[in-house]
Amino acid sequence: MSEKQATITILLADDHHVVRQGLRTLLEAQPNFSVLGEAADGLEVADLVEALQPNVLIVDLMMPGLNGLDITEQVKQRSPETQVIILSMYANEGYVIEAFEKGALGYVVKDSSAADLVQAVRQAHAHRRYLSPPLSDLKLDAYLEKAKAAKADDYETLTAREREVLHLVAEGYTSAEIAERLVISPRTVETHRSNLMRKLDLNSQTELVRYALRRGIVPLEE
Amino acid sequence: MNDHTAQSTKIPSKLRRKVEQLLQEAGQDELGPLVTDVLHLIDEWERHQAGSGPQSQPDRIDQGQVRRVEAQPPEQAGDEAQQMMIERRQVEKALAQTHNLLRTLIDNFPDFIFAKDTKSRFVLNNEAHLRILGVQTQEAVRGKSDFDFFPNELAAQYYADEQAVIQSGQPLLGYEEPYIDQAGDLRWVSTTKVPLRDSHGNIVGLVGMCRDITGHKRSDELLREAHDELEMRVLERTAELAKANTILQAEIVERKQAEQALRESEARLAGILDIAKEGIISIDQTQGIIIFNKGSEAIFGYAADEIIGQSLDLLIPDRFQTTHRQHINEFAGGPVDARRMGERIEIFGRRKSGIEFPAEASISKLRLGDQTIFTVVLRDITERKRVETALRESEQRYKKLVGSVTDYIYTVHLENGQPIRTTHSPNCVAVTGYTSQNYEADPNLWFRMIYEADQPVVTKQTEALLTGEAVPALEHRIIHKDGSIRWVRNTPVLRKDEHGQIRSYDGLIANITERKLAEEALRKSEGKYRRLMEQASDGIILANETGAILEANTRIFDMLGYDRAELLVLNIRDLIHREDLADTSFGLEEVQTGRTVLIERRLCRKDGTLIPVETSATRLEDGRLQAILRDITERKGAEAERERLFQEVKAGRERLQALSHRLVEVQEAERRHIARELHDETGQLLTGLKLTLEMSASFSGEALQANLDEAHSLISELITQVRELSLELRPAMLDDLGLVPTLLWHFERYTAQTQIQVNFKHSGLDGRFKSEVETTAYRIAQEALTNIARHAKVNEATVRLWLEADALNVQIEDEGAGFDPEAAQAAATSSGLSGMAERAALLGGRLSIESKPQAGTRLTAQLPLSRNIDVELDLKS
Repeated sequence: MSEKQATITILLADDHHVVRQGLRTLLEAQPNFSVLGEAADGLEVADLVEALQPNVLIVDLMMPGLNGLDITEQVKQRSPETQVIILSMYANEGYVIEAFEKGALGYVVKDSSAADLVQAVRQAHAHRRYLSPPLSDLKLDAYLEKAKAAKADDYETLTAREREVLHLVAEGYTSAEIAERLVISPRTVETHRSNLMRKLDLNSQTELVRYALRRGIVPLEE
Repeated sequence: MNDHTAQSTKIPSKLRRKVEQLLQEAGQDELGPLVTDVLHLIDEWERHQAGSGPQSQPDRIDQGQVRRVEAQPPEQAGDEAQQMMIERRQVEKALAQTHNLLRTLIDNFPDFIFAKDTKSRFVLNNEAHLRILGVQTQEAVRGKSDFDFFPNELAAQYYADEQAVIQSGQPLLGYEEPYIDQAGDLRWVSTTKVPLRDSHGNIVGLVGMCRDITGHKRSDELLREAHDELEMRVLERTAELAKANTILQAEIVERKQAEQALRESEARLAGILDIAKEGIISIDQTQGIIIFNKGSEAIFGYAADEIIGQSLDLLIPDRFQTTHRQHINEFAGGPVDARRMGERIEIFGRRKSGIEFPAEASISKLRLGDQTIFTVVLRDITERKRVETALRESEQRYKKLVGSVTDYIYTVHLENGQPIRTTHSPNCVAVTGYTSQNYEADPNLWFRMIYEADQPVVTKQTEALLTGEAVPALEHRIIHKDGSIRWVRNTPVLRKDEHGQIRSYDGLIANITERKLAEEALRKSEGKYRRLMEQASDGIILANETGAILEANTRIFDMLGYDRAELLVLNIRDLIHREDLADTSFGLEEVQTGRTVLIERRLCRKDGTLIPVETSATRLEDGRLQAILRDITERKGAEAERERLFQEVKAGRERLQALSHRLVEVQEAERRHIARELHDETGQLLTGLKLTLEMSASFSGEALQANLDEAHSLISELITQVRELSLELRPAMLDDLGLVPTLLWHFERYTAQTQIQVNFKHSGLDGRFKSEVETTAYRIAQEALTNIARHAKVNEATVRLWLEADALNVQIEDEGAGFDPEAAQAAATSSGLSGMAERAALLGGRLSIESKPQAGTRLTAQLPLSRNIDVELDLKS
């Protein structure tokens, strides 16, 4: 019951008056929740947090002036003790990850139930992370895996012409011969050649041939 | 008149009979004994002369004879004897008369007639010859030879010729040889020399006959030949005549022996008269004809029998009869015994047929007692006249012909190969300023007037000419009398005599000053033109009217790669590209009309490459064609570039238009969609919520709770709908989270809607990019994926993002249906390709499309990251 006695102070930041009223009604229905104030403008949130020092800031992702993610970042710098819960329309992992990276502890989708929000506040106050359904850590992991920088195969970034030039260079043709075969000017061949070497990070003819052999572009014949 | 005629014919008739009789007895070929007789007589004559002394020598032989005959008194008595004497005297008288007549004939011959002994000493000479020798009488030349009268070399030649005749017995007929007349002038004669034989056939001398041909010598060869034959025959007859004359002379010396000889001689002479081609006619004072030889018969057409005794008037055209008679009378009373008739006027005879003919005649008179007999020697010169006329006409034609191409003619007369005199036709004054008289007065004027620098060539030409070479015309300058310089063309024409000796030459002078000046001007202008040609930056070709190349400037060689020699064998057509020749008319015909033709065409270089040129072709005044060629390669390149830019702009405008159109369409579609969403979905939900809440008033307890739950549920659905709608319009995530999260979100939704898995690869995208770049990249990826869903018929697609060369590269690839990019782009269809390209282009980037039907599609957008800086700088400034 000690938890009950401890009052959790809350600041509400949402640009919609109706939403703020609804949330305030919902939160104040909890015995030890105390809503210290409300903010309607993104730019005034950090100042209010600093002035009121609430335990928890519930901030809408979409705020005029400054969005919820940026507010979170400011608040965590200026009032590190205040825990931030992002209220969002979007059940999108990208946002969640961004929010958590900025320092938020809870991410609650707006169409979640009131219980989810209460839970999120209690968890935040206890320095625990909270994700409202349908979000989950599992989904977050999957997302992170998906979003991980996956370097594309350099060869695939070559244009068709650059690939042709690569093949012919590897087979030992000179620029003039390639130009004749492809019916383009030798100068253009040179341009393609330098482009493809840059894309493949090759610095010499030897490296180019070695790359071609490794890639199987030129068969390792006798 | 009839009395006179009858009387005067008495003696001649008798003589004639005798002569005829003698002639019959002697026969044609009985010269031998006759000659013996003659020689005999000569000897006696010489002896007699030696005895009688020179003082008794009469001035004229015939007069002397006459005197002697008259001095012989009738002395014998006795009827018979007296009768005989009378008869004999009559015969002697008649013979003497006849002899005188014949001598007169010989002396009247204009030709020189002489007889010589075997040592070429003169025996007999007619008057014409004596005149040439410069003496009066036969006596003056007795025992003398040509050496006494002619220069040694001439005389030696005569002597050699004559000795040849005497030694060989072969006559020399009608050859030409020179002699010197009394004035010291060199003259020419046509000579015939025949041997004289005695009765045994031994050669005892010769008879010569020479005709002066100096005047005729330059006449036509034909005429000469025709004459030669005539001369020869006359000479032969004359030789006989001369012999007969000698006989007569002998008769005079010894009358006794003379009678027979005289008879014979008469016969010879009469025969000779008849053999002669000339008409020989004797008339008495009343103009009654007493002798009419065979030659006359041939000429006039009368027989001797029918004309003898008739009046001479028959033979003279009516209009001349009176004049003629007057002349005869004057001549009869005058001191001259012989003269040539018609010296001043032409005389004409009249044939029996009535036809008139031109004639040449000489007349002599002979007084026999109270009788005066006139003898006319007459030649029909119809043929000669004809030839002369023909010659004259031919000469006139020549002069006229030459005159038509010549301004004047001069003739240089030569002697021993040296010019001695010039004659200039009157027109010379127009060209040279000097008159014919000037040239005549100054033999060296013609050479002096030649421009000094040109004198050597003229001299050279003359020298070459005098060697008999054919010399071409020479163009040289002369100095006009007024000091100005004139150009003339001098065409020399040699005049040779029948022996091929150069007697003179003509110079045909044409004044070519104007032409020369024109040529000079032309040459100067050509030189100027040539310099211009070489300085020109354009190529210049000169061709003849068929297009054969005559000349080209250096620039042409550079342009076409040919050298001069190669180019000059080509035709302009050879240079023009075959297609251009076929497509456009050559233009030659148009140029020939004098117009300047401007045309663009391609020329073939020597190496086969083409060069575009602008040709300005025109015809020059001299008929040549001039083509000025300008290399328009650069202009063509610029034109092509301009055309390309124009097409690009045009295509860009078209794409922009298509894009605008599409934007409007997309906007409308979007609005329609939003309107439908709001009406169908949001509107429905709100209506449902309103109804639910209205009903709550009538509920209580659990029913109310259920009612509120229903309302709550409706509101949640509403929130979701509005959220989705908002995201579709513009994902706020792009601003809030950046490209990769937004794309990830989009792919999730895309896969959920299309069942197409998106394979996403990216690198180097840690930071954020300009909003435009992120938006463009997002929209291009979105559009490309939409296209894949619509057309590619695949269940997998790949999206790649990477940074390269300060540009964000977005690549969307599938292995689906593919398409023809060019056709798709040209069609500017709703595929959105043009929209994507426009978006990339707005950032200064570009979109490349690689696709082939059934071989997949790969779109790569290259979006420069630095573009906005430029824009900002632009805005600041």
